[in-house]
Amino acid sequence: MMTSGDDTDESLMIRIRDGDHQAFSCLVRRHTDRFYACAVRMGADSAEAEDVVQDAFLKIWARPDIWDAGKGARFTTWFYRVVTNMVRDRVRQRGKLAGPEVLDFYSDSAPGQDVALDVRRRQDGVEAAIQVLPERQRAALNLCFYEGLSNREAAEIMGVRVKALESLLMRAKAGVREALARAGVLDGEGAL
Amino acid sequence: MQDHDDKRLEALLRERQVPETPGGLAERIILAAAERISVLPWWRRMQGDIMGMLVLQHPAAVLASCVAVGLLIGAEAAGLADTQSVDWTSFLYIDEGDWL
Repeated sequence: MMTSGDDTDESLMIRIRDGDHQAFSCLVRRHTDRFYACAVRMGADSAEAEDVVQDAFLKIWARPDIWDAGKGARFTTWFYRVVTNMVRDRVRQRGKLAGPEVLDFYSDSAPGQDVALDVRRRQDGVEAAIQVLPERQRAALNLCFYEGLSNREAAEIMGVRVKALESLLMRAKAGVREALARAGVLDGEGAL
Repeated sequence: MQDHDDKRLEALLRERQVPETPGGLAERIILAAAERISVLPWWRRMQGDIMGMLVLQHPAAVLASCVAVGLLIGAEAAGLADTQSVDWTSFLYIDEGDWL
């Protein structure tokens, strides 16, 4: 059967259950970028993020029945949970969060050298501030702010209530604000 | 003041770089999946097909139907057993007539 961009993720999953490799290819091409970015934002380095995304998709291919259409969950919501759990396990095994290249660059850079350097400094400051957040706050911020999910979807992915998710989100923003202020990115010379 | 701070924070958060996906990652995943098809022996593929056919889409509905059908058959069988028990008792009393 031919696949088209109009096929929903859920209909592709049903065809993958029948061993349709073309449907699998369509699903992978559609979502690889999104979930790779998600894995990196959650704290994986680039090699780990590649492994996680590949393993997650191959798990679907090997055992497509692990996604249960009857439960009514959207494929992406369910797959976010798979990817975030895998990243969390990898990061815990590794035992550290932010990539050293980000922190090294941030600590070495001098503010106000030129515009490009200043932008880069702010970006790295934001990255470092997010990566040092507690795991669940970081996940809440990533899912709601960067992945554009609703609070309800993010809460479902993280297995918490919406109120708890909102609390995590609030604390995450406060933590980032504090870290950026401490680093002089929010209120210092490099501020907007 | 708080709103202004929030807006500044959100503007900074939006500046965060989008991680760039390594070239060809999607194609590597697709290829790895294709290789997994070919390495599966025929009997494993057949087993998968058969198990796929046996998957129950609505297990609760199937279970409820089985119970209902079971009760129906049970009730029918009970009725049949009653009839048969009458036949058995009548068999015990043989009318020998005048033969003896």
